[in-house]
Amino acid sequence: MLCRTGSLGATIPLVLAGSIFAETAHARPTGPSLACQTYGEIPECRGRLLDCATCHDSTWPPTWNAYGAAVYGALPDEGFDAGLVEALLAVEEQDSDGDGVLNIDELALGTNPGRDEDAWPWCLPSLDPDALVPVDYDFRRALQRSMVLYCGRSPTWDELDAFDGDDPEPATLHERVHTQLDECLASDYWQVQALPRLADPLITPIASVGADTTIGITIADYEWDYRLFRYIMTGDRDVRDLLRADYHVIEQNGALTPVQGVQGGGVGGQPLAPQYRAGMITTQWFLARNTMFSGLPRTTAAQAYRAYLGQDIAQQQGLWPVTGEPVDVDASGVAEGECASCHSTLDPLSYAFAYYEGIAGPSTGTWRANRPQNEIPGWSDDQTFILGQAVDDVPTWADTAANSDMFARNVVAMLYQHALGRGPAVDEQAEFDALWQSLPDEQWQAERMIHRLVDTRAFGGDR
Amino acid sequence: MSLTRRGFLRSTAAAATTLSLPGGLEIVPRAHAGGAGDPPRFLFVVAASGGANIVDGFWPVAQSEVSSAALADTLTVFPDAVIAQPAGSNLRCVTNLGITGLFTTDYDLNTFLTKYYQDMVVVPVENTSVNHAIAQKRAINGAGINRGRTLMEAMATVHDGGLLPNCNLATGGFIEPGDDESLPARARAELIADPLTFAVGTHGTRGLPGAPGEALVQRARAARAELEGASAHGQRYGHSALRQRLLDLQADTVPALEAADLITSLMIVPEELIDLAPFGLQPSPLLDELQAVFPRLLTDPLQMQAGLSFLLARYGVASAVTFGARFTPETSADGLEGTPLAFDFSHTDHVVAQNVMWGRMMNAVDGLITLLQGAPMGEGTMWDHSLVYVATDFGRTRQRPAGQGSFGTGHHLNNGALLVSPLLDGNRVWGGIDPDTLLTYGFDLRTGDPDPGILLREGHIYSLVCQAMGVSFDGQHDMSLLLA
Amino acid sequence: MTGSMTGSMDGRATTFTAALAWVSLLLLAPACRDDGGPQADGGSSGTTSAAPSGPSDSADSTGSTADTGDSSDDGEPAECAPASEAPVPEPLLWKRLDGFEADLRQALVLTPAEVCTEVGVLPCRDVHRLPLGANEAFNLNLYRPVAEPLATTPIAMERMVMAACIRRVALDAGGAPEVFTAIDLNGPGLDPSDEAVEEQISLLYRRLLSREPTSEEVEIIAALAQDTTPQQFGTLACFAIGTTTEAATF
Repeated sequence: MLCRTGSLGATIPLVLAGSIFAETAHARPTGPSLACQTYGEIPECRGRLLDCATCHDSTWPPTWNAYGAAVYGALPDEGFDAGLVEALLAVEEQDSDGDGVLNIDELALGTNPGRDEDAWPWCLPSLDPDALVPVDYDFRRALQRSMVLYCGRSPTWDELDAFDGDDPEPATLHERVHTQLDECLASDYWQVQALPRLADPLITPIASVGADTTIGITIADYEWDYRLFRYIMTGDRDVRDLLRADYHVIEQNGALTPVQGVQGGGVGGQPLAPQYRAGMITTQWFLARNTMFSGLPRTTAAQAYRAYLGQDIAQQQGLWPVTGEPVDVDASGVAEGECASCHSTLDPLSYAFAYYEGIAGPSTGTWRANRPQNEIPGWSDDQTFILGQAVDDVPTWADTAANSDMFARNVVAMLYQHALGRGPAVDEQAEFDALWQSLPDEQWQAERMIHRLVDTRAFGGDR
Repeated sequence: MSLTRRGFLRSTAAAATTLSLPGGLEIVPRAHAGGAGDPPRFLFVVAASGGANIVDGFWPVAQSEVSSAALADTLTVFPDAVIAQPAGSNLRCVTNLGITGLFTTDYDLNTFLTKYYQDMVVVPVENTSVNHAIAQKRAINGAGINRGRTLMEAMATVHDGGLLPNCNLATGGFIEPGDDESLPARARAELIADPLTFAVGTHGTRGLPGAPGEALVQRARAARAELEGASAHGQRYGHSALRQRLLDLQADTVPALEAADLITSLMIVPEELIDLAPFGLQPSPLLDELQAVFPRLLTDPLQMQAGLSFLLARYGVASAVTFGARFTPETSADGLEGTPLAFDFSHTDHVVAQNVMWGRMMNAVDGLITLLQGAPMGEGTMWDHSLVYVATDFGRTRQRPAGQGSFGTGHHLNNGALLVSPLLDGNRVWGGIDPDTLLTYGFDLRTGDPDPGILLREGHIYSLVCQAMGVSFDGQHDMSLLLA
Repeated sequence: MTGSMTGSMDGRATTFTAALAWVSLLLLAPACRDDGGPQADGGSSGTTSAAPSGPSDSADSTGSTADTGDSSDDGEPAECAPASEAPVPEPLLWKRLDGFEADLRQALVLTPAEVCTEVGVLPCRDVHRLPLGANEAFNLNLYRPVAEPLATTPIAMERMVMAACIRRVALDAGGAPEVFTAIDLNGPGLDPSDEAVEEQISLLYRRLLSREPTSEEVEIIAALAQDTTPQQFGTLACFAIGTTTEAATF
């Protein structure tokens, strides 16, 4: 078994790609999803979709990197969608960017086959599947990291002495790390102080119009959102409730308690009946904050996609275009030129949200059957799609999302980023993928994922 | 006793009416340019958060210019009487509409236009996002045209002589870092949350009651440096970029910041507001000058930001400074300043939000330019080397319910950008506007001829600013036609 | 206030087995392929087919640096550079505001109100929030903290540590000592060679860094006792140890 390396053919100069193709070709939003159907097991397709940058330096105006140029040059006559797979296979054996690693190998590693500065010519670590932790695992380091991250403080001298002063076996150290971790995860620091900071990018609070307003303007109370997030991320609960919860959470005597149904009245409460609820993405704040005054709530759908599936359409991530879209239902010009490449995914992602009010005084965040017709003159009740699946309403949208690989990956990526301040390196990618792919087997519980995260080489390895 | 910032201001605001300064310190200009012989350049990015609509500012359309009165009734046009065009100016503006009540401004855009029309350029732009955060970031990174670097990062990479060449006092997408991982560390933005207290963060120990003297602190720092070399931690993590970054800052940046005495130069807390003497501190020698231009310097967050921005440039700390309006309601001792959500209050009342916020923003820019014009540099002043880019998210929809004067508007990609600088071929609006849609359009970059078939994007504005600032990059648009 | 923005705050209540992971690691290890096809080999080597040479090397690298010591394969050559030579990710984490301040308070037995204020009234954790690595979602809309230390981060750390050290020294000098128990803060000047100095340094290391100092470290810090008062020594020693990168990272 030899790994073939090196360039097997001349690469197409980048300048050629830019100068010739720009006149006759454009970026294809179907590219990422089609490519991932071919390469479903590569890192960039596991729980995500290939980034446009895999092939493009720019999508508007379109320019291609060396790999994109090679793929483009290999496209057969039958056109892009029908011929992409053939083209991808045709250039697998090439080293388009000349970095010494074959295109197919780069895709498998998660490096960019079109950028020579992004390469990984090194062997990947070999890890023992039966080991408690990786061979270079440092238990003391793991304890310290666990405590700072989840207890909010370092272990004291005495605690460290109690931890390993008796020179125990690895199994004992392992148990002690996790016992301490359990204490941390039950602490006020983690549950009250740290978890809300993980939620900040999801909730995107604005004090001026939220619960902390100083001038009496409240569009909604985001404290509901923070409580719901804290509740779901603790207590061995199912993290899919971030998108599936039909309940809200109140705090009584320091304890978080779920409550059903409409809460309060008007602004500051929660107006939706359970059948319209979809966790964090149908709170009054989420709808008011993102939909605001829009007829078609594209920003709401985009934020839901970004925050809970990790796909930022504004960064051209997660493009999964629907045939015939965008129909430009509100005559916003989104079917034109560069707009269409993202809106062919975004608009069908958004239709179901049109039934929910944005900022509308006492009706903020309510569900109204006739809202689309009233707010969007050209409303044609087009089909909502998420991840290529047709769905009829936001709860179904959310349920589809919550059971996707993207959601599992994104939740774990959030915890990973919080813990390590970065994403996985190339030689940690497989470990990371195994981590998030274990989420269903860990009963979709955040705490159990954190326990597994602490056991990784990335967290405790002596690197 | 511990106070919140707001409480701190409230408790002391009453004292902030008259000020006096101790003897001033000498201003020691630093090198501003990256290369020998390069002229100094200062970029001020003024963040007009929420959607500063150019047709409500310096590119208005009069009712009489619309093809029919009925159509005019449905567009965000203005009565001819409230559109001003000073003598000699090729630009026009919406005057102060005299809005009263909770939201108001005492500044008239005509004041600004009269003073600066020769340096003003309005350029049409068609943005690519109506999402605030995304659009704000694209307004400063040209939608990624320069490997994702923000204007301020690109600027600080070239004009890198200052101690903190890229200072950012803004919020939201305007404080987002660029996406170029190869950016030199020195060019990254130094985020400044509170202009009032920033100065204390430029010295390790001064102002702390009971702190040992300078010589003793230096002994302790020297001991710490020895510890770093001696510790097992240092040896184990010698390859850590994070640790090295901290060590480099300790070794180079901290001494330089302290030696520059920025804790004094940038201190905009007057002794009337709080007695600094017991802490061994004193106000900036330029505080009087600032307060003469910004009467609400100590209580209006925008004026406070503009004032510190000037000081950061004046003392050679930064070559790129960003400040602007925040979504958070900005209050002073006089009450609410501007509108909550800044320009985005247009959702609720477009005319009020745009007129009040345009006035508020340009009042701050006026003060900044006044200060720059009063600061000698070479044979001229700092203003001769400066550019103000009023960056905003996007435009607003141009329709209104027929005949109504109070209405809300949504986000719209179409807009125009305002740039003010002697480095530009000023007193000109580039491109054109359709009076029946109020949509702007572009122009031929070679001839300057307006062309409804041409749209300029964020990358064009980015390229223009870079060219004016002497910053070049691969793939930039040639905007030299707009340069002085 | 107009229109629909009007509102009030009335409504506000103020194992899965480890085996799968490792199997996945092996299955997904990329692209060491047989000549015959593009499928991942799924074999047991756990190594990759990536080029054996550095990224700057170009085509036709056949490789000669296989590192079987890093693999558990079946002995077949793997044409990739040794894993031991691969770049490692950043090994340290920045101890940001919460952890940094909590550790300082824990070490010096200080309440949140005691640890540090600016100009006598403003909590340092508020004034230096961003340089100390925290985000500020509500007013600045900075929803994620800065990725790396700002230029003024070391200064913010120094101010917080210095203020805390001064406070602890003052408290210990004025009452029953909690931290500076080995030396007499109100006594005469200390000699760097005093056993009390060494003991105090050990105490500070245990409290601030949770470990014992080496003799070299003791010597370095003990030198600060020369020509200083005990209170100055205590403050400076605390400051020097508490602002090391060891205290700022984990």
